[in-house]
Amino acid sequence: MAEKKIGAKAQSFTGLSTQDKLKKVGDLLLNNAMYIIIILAVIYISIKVPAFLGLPSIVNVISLTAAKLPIALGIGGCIVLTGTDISAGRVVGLTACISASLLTTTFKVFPDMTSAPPIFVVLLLVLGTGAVVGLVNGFSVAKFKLHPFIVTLSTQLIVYGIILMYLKNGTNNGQTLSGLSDGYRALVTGTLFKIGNVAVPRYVLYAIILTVVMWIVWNKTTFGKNMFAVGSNEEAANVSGVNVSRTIILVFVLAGVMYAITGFLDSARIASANAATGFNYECDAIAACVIGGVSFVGGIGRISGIVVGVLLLQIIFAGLNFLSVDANMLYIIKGLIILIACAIDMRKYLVRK
Amino acid sequence: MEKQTTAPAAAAKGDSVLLKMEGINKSFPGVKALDNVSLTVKAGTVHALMGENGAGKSTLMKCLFGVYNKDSGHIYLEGREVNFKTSKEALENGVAMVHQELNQALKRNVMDNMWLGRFPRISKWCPLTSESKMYAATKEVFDELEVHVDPKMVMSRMPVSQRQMVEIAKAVSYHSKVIVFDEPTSSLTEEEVEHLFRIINMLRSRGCGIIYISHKMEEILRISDEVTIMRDGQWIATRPAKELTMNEIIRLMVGRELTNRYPEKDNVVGEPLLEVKGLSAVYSQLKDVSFTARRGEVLGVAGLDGSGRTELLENIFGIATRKEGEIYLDGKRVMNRSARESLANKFAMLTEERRATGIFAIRDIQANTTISSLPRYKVGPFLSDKKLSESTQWGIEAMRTKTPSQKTQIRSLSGGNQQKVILARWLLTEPEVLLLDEPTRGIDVGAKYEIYQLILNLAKEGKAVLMVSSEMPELLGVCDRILVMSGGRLAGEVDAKTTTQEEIMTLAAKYA
Amino acid sequence: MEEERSPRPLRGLYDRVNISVGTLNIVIIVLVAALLVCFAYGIAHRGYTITFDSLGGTAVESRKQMYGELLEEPEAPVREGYVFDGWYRDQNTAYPWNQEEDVITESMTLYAGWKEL
Repeated sequence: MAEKKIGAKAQSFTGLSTQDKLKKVGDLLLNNAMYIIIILAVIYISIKVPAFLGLPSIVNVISLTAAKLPIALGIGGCIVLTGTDISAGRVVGLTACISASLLTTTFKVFPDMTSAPPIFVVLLLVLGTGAVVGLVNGFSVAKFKLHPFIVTLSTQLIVYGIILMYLKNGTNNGQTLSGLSDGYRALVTGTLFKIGNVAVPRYVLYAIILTVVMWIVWNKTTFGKNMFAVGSNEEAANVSGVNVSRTIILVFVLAGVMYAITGFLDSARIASANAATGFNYECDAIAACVIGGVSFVGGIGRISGIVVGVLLLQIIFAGLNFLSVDANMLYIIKGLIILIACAIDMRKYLVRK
Repeated sequence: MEKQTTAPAAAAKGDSVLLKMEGINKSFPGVKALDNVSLTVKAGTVHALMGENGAGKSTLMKCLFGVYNKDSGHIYLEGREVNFKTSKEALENGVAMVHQELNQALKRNVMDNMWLGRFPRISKWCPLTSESKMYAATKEVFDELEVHVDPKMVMSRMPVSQRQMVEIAKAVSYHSKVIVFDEPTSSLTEEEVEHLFRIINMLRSRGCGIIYISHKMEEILRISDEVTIMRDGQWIATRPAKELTMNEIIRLMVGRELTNRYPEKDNVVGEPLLEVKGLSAVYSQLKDVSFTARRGEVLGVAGLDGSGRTELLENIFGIATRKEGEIYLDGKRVMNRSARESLANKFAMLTEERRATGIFAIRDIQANTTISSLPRYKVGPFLSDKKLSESTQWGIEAMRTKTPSQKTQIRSLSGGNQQKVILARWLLTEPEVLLLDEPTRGIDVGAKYEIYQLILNLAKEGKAVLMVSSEMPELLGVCDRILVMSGGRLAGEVDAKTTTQEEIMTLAAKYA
Repeated sequence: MEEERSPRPLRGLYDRVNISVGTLNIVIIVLVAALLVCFAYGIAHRGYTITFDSLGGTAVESRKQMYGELLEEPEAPVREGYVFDGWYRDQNTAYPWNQEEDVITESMTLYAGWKEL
């Protein structure tokens, strides 16, 4: 089978018959099916609802992209390691709840408190929380050689339990946390600058900074190079003197920190946090990564790809929202998108087998 | 199993063509593995197929058995064109193969393996398998071949040579007309080889056509009627065995390159550099190995497969668990508990399985070259692209790697060029001791020469090189001394200039 | 010759992918078709359902509206002993629906607010 394919490839170099051309076009269409669907969808939506291309809508899509970017940047590293991380959404939820419970004016969770601690202390606390969950994930994956799916399946349950118990604390009784302090909200959702009279929130800037930082980490550090090496061939990396365990653990810790940042920004962005915050975020993030070319084959991926992936996904969701497509249908569409993205990704690497 | 007493034994001998392969072509990306190869096997003869590793013998056989699809060419069995899709189909049409690497269900017993895929039924109407029929049939074949093995013995309890006999018996039990033996004697003792030859002679007298693949020339000249020689995927010659001499075969196999297959040895052996004392492993049979390697020396490690050659290197490099033993570098004790530590102690290791533990297939040349020496390219906390690409460029030039660019994925390079990239990776760590496990495996002849040259250049720079190889001429041509491993122990140490292949083989069998 | 060895399997989650490219093409096409059907269905049934919970008052029929529209306010419900004072986003009637500014962005339920007479 494989030999046949190679033979066919060799022929296409010597001379392109009509059939070969058709095959090439077919390859092109299938490998880029995702992008083609999204472009067609955008065209359709902008004809149907012209406001979709208006400034407020564009700023909205960019803001949403910025909000979902950090978590995708974190999960991207796990996928490069041929793993995945399904605890991401719950970690976002936990850190959002912690942020919302401390940086508040009502102190329902901690009735004894009278004033909110400094914002950066809370930020450090949530980053630490994310890092601890990442450490547990990374340690189990690196040392027990469990599949990341199983490990993070367990940790996401544990984290969810912690969220529910945390929200029962004090006088809160599991309610949604709101009434966030003005300083916190201003720091995250304050106006960065205005285009016309549409405000761009500050977290767009934070997302840009995180993207730059992650780009440097992935491309300009020993850790980044090691991560790709471990992802593409763990055995060879070990023989080449790479500290495989440390690399895996660090990738998961870094991912945990990214989820924590997402949670910190999200609770201020939505102005509330509850047990459902962050639920299923990892699905969007994984879909975005796969669309953006971070392959489950391992050792392949770019930051720019992740950004494009998140952006495309947000465009299509915003567009469907504009069309008033029901939220229930959106779940089905999301699932199909992930499946298609994976199948296309698989196809790319099967052809070259 | 009824005996094939009706086979036209003498009548067929030397006359009727049993198997004819004509103009077989097969290409892999970048390599023409078979170039218009033909092979004709007559009934009642043993036809030897010879050639160096990579000459295309196995590829030709895989085309016959449908493991590979041939690009073009025809195969005729008894005058009828055939094109087997699977080895099962080949078996059913009377073409069998005894593989060099045995594919057997080791947890099952002998007769289960013999009748796998065609278990006899109790009767036509009862779908249950019949143990007694199976036992009787197996016994019959074994008696015929004078194999003294209990059909109910579990495979894993038997030595490799007996398992091979079972494999041969299985081929016979299919009433095969053509039987291919791929390096059948590599794990057999002399006595067992005699037994095998008796079996082959018996099959020949029955009118079977035997294709016999081996490197051992004495055997070939003894057993075969005709010899076909291949080189670099091409058919070179088919001659009656009687007309051939050993030198003639070598000349045909190696071609004009015989005189300069190995670069001139001009390395100077110096002071002792690496000293290994009483090395034993936990999870392998490696036991009590001691030796010294000197600066500027290429030290070969010979032995059969599974003799502990690879394990020796892995233990020195710290990627296998050591039980006891001490390693001294320049008189100082080094621990080498992990690859990282060994790296810091100026050791480097080229692993045997290039794809599994060598290359990062989907990463580019630069990433593959620099992975082991990343800290060297730091400017502040970050890696410098300039330094990375400079070092990679050095690696490409020093190794004369053929690659379109530094950004090419390593998997698109040929085996030889991949090996050069990995060598460059290790040289960038500036090692003192290089451990090379089968450095020329899966590399074409031209590239091999370049690798040998690189190895000798390293020795000239005063490094100690340990080189494991299954190809004895290579060890004799490149090394200064050769350690011979046998059954996990060091069986002896020979001087490459004065030793012979026979001496090494005798040592290799010492504890096997 | 390296190529003579059996090809090593792909790594990662696709380790044991056991499908030919041809079949995979069909799978992708089928999935894309399914996605398009979902799009079409979603667009054909577009509109967000606004459900009204009158919290003890007379029932109010739910309605479908498009994204970005102002709420088309239904006829006010009636409840004995109370006066209707508008629609709220939550059951505790803490967050009122601002009829002039708030636009519809999703399917939702609005709750009636009542003042005792």
